[in-house]
Amino acid sequence: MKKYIIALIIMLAVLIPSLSVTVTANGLPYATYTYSSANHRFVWTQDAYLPLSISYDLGGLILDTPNDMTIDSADNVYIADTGNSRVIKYSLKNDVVSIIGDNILDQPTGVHVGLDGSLYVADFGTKAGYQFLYDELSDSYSLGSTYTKPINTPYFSTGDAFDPTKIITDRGNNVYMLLAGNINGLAEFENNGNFFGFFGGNTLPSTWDNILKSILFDEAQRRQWFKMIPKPVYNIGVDHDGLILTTTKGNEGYLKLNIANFVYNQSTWGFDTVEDMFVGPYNTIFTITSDGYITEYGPDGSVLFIFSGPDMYNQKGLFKYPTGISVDSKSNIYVVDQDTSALQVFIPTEFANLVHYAIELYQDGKYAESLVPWQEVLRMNSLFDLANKGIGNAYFSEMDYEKAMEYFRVARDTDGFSNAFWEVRNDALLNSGEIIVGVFLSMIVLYFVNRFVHFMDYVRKPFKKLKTFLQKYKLYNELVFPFYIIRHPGDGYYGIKRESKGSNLSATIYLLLFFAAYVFWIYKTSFLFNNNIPSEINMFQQLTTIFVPFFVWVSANYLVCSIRDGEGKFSDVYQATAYTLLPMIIALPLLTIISNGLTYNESFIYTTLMFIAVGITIIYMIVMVKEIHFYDMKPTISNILITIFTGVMLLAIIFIIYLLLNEVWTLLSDIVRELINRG
Amino acid sequence: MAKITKYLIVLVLFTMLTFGIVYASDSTEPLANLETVENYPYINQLLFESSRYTQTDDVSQQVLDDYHNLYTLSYTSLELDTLGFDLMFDTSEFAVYFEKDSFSLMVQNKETGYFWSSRPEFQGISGSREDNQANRRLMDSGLWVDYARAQNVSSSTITTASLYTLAEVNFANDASITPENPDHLRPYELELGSYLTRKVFVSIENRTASSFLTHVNIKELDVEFDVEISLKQGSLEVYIPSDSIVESGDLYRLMGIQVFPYFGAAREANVPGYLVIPDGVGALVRMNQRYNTYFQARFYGTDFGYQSQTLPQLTIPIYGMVHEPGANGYYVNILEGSETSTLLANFWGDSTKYNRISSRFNVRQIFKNVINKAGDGNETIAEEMTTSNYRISYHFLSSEDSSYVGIAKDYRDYLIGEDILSNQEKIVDGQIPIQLSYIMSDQEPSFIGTTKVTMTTIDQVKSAYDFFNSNGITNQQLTLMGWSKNGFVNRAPYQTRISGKGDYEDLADYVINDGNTIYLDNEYVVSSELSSRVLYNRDVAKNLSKLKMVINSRSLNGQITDLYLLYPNRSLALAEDDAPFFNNLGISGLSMGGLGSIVFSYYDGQNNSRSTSISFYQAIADLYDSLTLSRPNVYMYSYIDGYMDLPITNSQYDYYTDLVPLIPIILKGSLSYYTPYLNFNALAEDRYLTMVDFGINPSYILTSEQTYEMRYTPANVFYTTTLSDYEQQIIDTYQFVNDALKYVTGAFIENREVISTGLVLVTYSNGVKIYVNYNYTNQMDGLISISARSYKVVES
Repeated sequence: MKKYIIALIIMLAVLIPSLSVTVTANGLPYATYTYSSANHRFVWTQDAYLPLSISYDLGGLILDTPNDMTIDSADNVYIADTGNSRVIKYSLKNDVVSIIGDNILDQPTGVHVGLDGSLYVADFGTKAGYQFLYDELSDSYSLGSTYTKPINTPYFSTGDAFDPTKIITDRGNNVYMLLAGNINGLAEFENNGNFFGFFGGNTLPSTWDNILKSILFDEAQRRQWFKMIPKPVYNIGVDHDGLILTTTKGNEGYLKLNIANFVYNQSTWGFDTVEDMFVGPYNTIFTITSDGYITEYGPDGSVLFIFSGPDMYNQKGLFKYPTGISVDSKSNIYVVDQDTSALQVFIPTEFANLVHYAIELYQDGKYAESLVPWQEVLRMNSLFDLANKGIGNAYFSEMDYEKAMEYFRVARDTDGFSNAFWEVRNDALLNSGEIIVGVFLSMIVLYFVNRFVHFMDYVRKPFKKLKTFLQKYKLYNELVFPFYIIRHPGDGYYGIKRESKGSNLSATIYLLLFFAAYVFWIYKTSFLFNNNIPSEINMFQQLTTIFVPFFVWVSANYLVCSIRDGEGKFSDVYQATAYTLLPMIIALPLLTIISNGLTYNESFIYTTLMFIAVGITIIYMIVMVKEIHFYDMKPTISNILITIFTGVMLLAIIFIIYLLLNEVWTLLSDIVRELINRG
Repeated sequence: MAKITKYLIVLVLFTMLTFGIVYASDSTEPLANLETVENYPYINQLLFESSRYTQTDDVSQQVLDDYHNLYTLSYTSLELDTLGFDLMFDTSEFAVYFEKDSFSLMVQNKETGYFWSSRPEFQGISGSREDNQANRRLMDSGLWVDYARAQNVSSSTITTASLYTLAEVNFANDASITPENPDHLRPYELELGSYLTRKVFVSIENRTASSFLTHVNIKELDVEFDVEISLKQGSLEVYIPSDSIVESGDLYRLMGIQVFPYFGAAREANVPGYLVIPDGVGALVRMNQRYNTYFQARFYGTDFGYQSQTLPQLTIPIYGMVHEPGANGYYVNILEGSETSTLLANFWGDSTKYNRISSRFNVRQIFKNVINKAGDGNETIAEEMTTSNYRISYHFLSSEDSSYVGIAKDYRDYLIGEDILSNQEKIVDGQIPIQLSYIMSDQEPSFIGTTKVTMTTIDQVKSAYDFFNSNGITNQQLTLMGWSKNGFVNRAPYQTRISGKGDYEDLADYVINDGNTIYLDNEYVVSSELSSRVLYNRDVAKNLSKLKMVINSRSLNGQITDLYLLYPNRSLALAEDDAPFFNNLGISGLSMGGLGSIVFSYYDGQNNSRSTSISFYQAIADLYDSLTLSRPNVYMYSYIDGYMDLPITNSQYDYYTDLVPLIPIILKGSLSYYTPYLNFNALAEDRYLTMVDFGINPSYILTSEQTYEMRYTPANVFYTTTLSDYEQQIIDTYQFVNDALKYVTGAFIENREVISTGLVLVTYSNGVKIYVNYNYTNQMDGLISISARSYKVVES
C-alpha cells in the first residue's frame, strides 16, 4: 500500500513543479523519504544519494540480462551476465574489465565473494554452484569446488528440483545456495562441496485459519489441498558479523537470521517486492525492489532512507527493472538494471555520511558521543525520528532524564520514554518523600481527631443541604438513579420500566457525558498507551465510532426483542443502555489521569482497570437486556447474539442502498455529460 | 655550566608538560572525524565528468581534422543552381538560397564561409544505399505537415508528411556515393516530372530584397497557408500567420506544421558540436555518441488542459545547435507561438543517422472526449485552429560567439532590446541580496476544525532582520508566508485577514527604508479544497475534455487534498480584489509560485488556448509594481523583480552530457535570481561553488520556533527551518558567496569557459574574472592558483 502512496507522490511531484519545492531542491528526479516507525508515517528528508553515472557498457563489454551483482573488499564489481554466460569483474576506478567462467558457466544468476577472497557463482543453467579461486599473482581465477545436487541423502529424491539461483558464504566459509522454489530454505554445503542440510526457510504465518488447519489436517493434506506451504526465500545476503539475511517476495522487508536459524531481527517496514539486498560498510542494509525503490535500513531494522523509483522517461537515477545492488566501502551504491542492461552508480551526500557516522557510534553503544552528530542530523531534518531517538538515548546515558524524556516524546519512542519517565518520576518521588509522609501522617492524625471532635459533620453539612435542595428536582433524581442501578440492578431496571425513574433527557445527557469521557480519553491518555496522534483524530470519525454502534444496538435490540416476546419499549431500552454506560464514564477519566503517571512496568494497572471497567459494563448490559425485556438467562444470550447480527445486517443494508444510489447518480450524470457532448 | 643545563632541562620539561595539557584538553571534536570521510578520487572525477557539470570542449584532433577536411559543407553557386536553388537574399553577412518545390533553404554565413542547409547533408557517404523512400522524402524537404482524418482522430493516426511525400516524388538513384558515382549531389536528384504539382504547389509571391512570401497549397489535403521568410537585422525570420491557414476540405484536418526540421542536421559523430536544449537551467547533448532516442517536450511545461504530461521544464523559447564551439553555430528564437509549440530533437540511432533539433507548430491538439465517470471516451480534436501565429528567427553565430554562452548572450541582448530585461539587480551597499522567507503560522487539525500554530511573529522577524544586519548582511529580501489567518500550505488564495496589521505596516516601512524589499506570499493559479475563497463550481477550471481540473494529492500521512486549477479570469478577479489591501499595507509586492510556471488551456463554454491564460496572468502581474515569481517563464520576465527557485539542474535524461547555465547568463546583470531553499541542500559545498559559478544568490526559509512544532501541519514539508540552527550557517554561506559575487554586481557574463574538468572561468563585462575549482585538489591556470573546492576572484 505504501509503495502506491510513494509512487503517487512521486508522479504528482513531477506534475506540479511549483508545489514540489523539496523534490527538486537538489536537482534529482526522485525524492528521498525516511519512515518513522513510531508514527507510522513518512517524512521527506534531504537527499542521501545522488546518481553519478549510468553506463551501458563496461570497459567495452555489453551486458545481457544481468541477474546479480556483488562487490569485494577492493571495490571490484562482479556482475552475473546471465545472457552471455559469464561473470564480469569490473573496476570502476580504471574501467578495466575481465571475464570469469567462460566455457564453464551457462546461466550464472548469483555471485558472491567470500571472506577467503574466492568468487562463488550459482548457475541456474548447469544446476550447480562453483567456487573460483583467485590467484593474486596471475590475477586469474581457477575452478575450485563444485556444489551440485547431493545424491544418497533423504533431503533430495531423484525427482526433486535443484535449481540454484543465489549463493553466499558465512564466516566459516560454509556455502549457502538458494534453490528456486525450494521451501526448505538455503542448501548448506561445506566449502569442499559436501551437503549437510538446510537453513533459513520461511515459516508459515500464525494466522487463525492456519492454526485451525494445522489442528484439523495433517501435513500432506495441508500441502495438497490448501497449498499451505511457506513462501520460498527469494534472495539472500550476509552481514559483517556473518549473520544471514533473507528476503521473500510477498513478505515485507527482510529477515535477519542467527546461527540457530531463528529470526534475530527484521525490518520494521518494507516493500514486498524486494529484488536484491546488500549489507553496506556500516552494517546498514540496502534493498531494492523490482519497481526501483532503494531502501536503506539501520542495523536494527529501522528505515533510514527510501529513494529512487521507476523510470518512465529515461532519466538518470531511476530504474526499469533492477536486479542487483551492491555497496562499496565508501557507501557508493551500484545497481544493475536488467531491462536496460546498464550499471548505475549513486554517491552518498554529506547528509548520508553524517547519518552513517551517527549510526556507527549509536550502534557501538557510544551514545554520549553520538549526541553531536545526531544534533547535526536533526538540524538538517527536524523530523528525522531516529535522530530524536538517538539524542534521547544520548541524554539518557548521561543521566539527563528530563531532556531524554522530551526527545523520546517527540520521537514517540515508547520504550525510551517509559524508562526515562520512570527515572524522572523516581526522582520526583524521592524528592517529595517528606511531603508525602507528612501528608499521610496528618491524615491519620485528623482521623483520630475526628473521632473525638466530630468536625467532619460540619464539613459535610453544606453538602447535605445541597443534596436535599437538588432532590427537589426530578432531573437530579434521574441523573443519580444509575448509581442505584449499579447497586441494585434488578430493582433499578424495573424502576426504569414501570416506575419511570428514568427519562430520555437524562439518558441523552449520559450519552453525551460518555462521548466527552471518550474524547478526553483518546486525547489525553499518555502516548505510552495510546496510539492516536491528536492532530490525526477526526471528530466526524469519532462521532460515528461512538454514536452509530450505540444507536444501531438500541434499535436492533428493540426490534429483535419486541418480536421475541420482550417487554421493553424503545425508550426503556434507550434509557437503560445509556445508564449502563456509567461504569465507563467513571472509569475512562480515571484511566486517563492515571495513565499519565505510569510506565510500562506498571502497565498492568492500566490494563486491569480497563478490563474491569469494560467487563462490568458488558455484564450489566447483559443484565439490562434480561431485566428490561423480562427474559430468562438463556433467551437473553440468544437474543443478544441475534441483536448483534441484526445490527450488522442493518449497516450492510444501508451501505448497499448507498452504493445503489451512487450508481444511479453516476448514471444520470453520465447521461447528462453524453448529451452535452453529442449535442 | 651544570646549573644552566639544569635550568634548560627544567624549561624543556615544563614546555612539554604545558603543551601536553593544552592538547589533551582539546576536546576531540566528534564531527572532526566526519570531514575526512571523502569519497574515492576516481568517483569524484566521475562526478565532475558526469552530466551534472559542464564539460570541456576538448575533441580529439582526428575528429576535428576529419570535420574540417571531410565534413564541412560547402557548395559552389553552380552546384546550388543544379540543385534548383535561387539566390533570394544577398547581403554582406548572408547569402540565402531557397528551393521552392522541396522548400529547402541554404544559408551561407559570409563571415566564416560556412553553409547551413535545411537538408541533411553528406547523405550516401557510407557508400551503401540509403534509399528508404519514405525517409528520403521527409529528409530532403523542408516543410512538414502533420495531419489526420477528420472523422477518425487518434494519436496513432496522425501522419507526418513532407511536401515531397505529398507530391509523391521518386528519387533518381539510391543515394550512395561510391567511387563509381562520386557526385555528391546525387542523393538530391529527382526523376524528371515526378513532383506532382497537382497535389502540392508552392508559389513565391511578394518578393523583395529582404523578404519573400511563399504560398503553400497542398491540394491533396485541401490545405493552404503562407510562409513568409525575411531577413531582419542579421537574423532569418520565418513567419506563418494563423489566419492564412485555410482548410477547404472535410476529409483532413491539419494538426501541425514543421519548418526546416533538418536544419543544420549533423551526421553521426562527424560534427564535434552539441545541441542546446533549454531544459531546467540548460542542457547540452554532445553529438559524439549514438544515443538512439529522441526528445520531445512542449514549451512552458505541462498543459493541463490536454491531460498530457511534459517532464522537462522549458522556460525560454530558444533552442540551437553548435557545430563547432568557437567557430559556427545557430540558434532559434520562437518569437510568437511558443506556447503552442513543441521542441523536438532526434539523435543518431537505429532510425536515423542524423542529429537534429527543431520545433513543431501545433495547429491543433488531440484531447479526449470523456463520456463517463470511468474516463472512457474517444480522442478528438477541436474544430477551430489555434489563433496564435508562428514566428521564429534563426540567428547565426560565428567565431567566439558560437557556443552556448553566445546563444544565451544573444538572447539576453534580444530581451534587453525588447525592454523585457533591464538593470534591476537588487544591490545594496555593493552587496549581493539574500532571500529570507519566514513562515508565520499554519493550521493544525484539531478536534473541531483547525488551530493555528504560530511559528514566527512580526517582532521575531524584525529581530532576525536586525540580527543579520548587525552581522554584515544588509541586503535582505524578505518574504512572509503563512501570514493570513486562513493558514498556509494549500490554502491559497488567502483571505486578506492579518492579525496585527499595524505591525506588518511598521515592518514594511522599516525594511523598505533600508532599501530592502518585503513580499507576502500568495497564489492565484493553484488552489485546493481547503481554501475558503474558492467555489468549486464557479472557480475550478475545466480542461478541454470538459472535466474539472482536480489533482488528488496525498500527503505522506495518507491524507488526501484535492488541488484545483482555477480559471485564469477568476484568478484575475481574486487578485484584483486583493490588490488594494496589499498596496495599502505598504509592502513591496507579492511572491507567487504558480503564476509564472503553470499555464494551461481550458474550456469555459468555448476552448481557450494558453495565450489567453498568459494574458490573464500578465494582467495579474501588472497589478503590482514589484513581484517575485518562482521559476517564471519568459513572458513574465518584464514583470518580476526577483527570480525565485532557479532550477539548478535539468531533467537529467541519460543522454544529456552537460549542464549549462543558460538562464543565469541571460539574467545576470538584469535580475537577481535565487537558489531553491538552501535548508534542503544536500550537496553542501558543491552548491555554494555552483552559486558562485552561476551568480546565484542564497535563499533560506526560516521559522523562529522549532520546526517540529509544526510537524502536524501541512507545512511539515519544510522539514528543517529553525532560525537558531541556521543563523551561523546563513552568515557563513552569505559571506562565502558574497566575497566573490560582490565584485560583479550589475555586470553581465561575457564568457564562461571550462579550462579543465572541474575548473571553470567566468569572465564578466566589468573585467572581473572568477575561477571556480570544484576539484578536491588545487589547480593552476597559468600563474594563478586556485585552492581545492574554492574560488578565486581576479580583478581587471
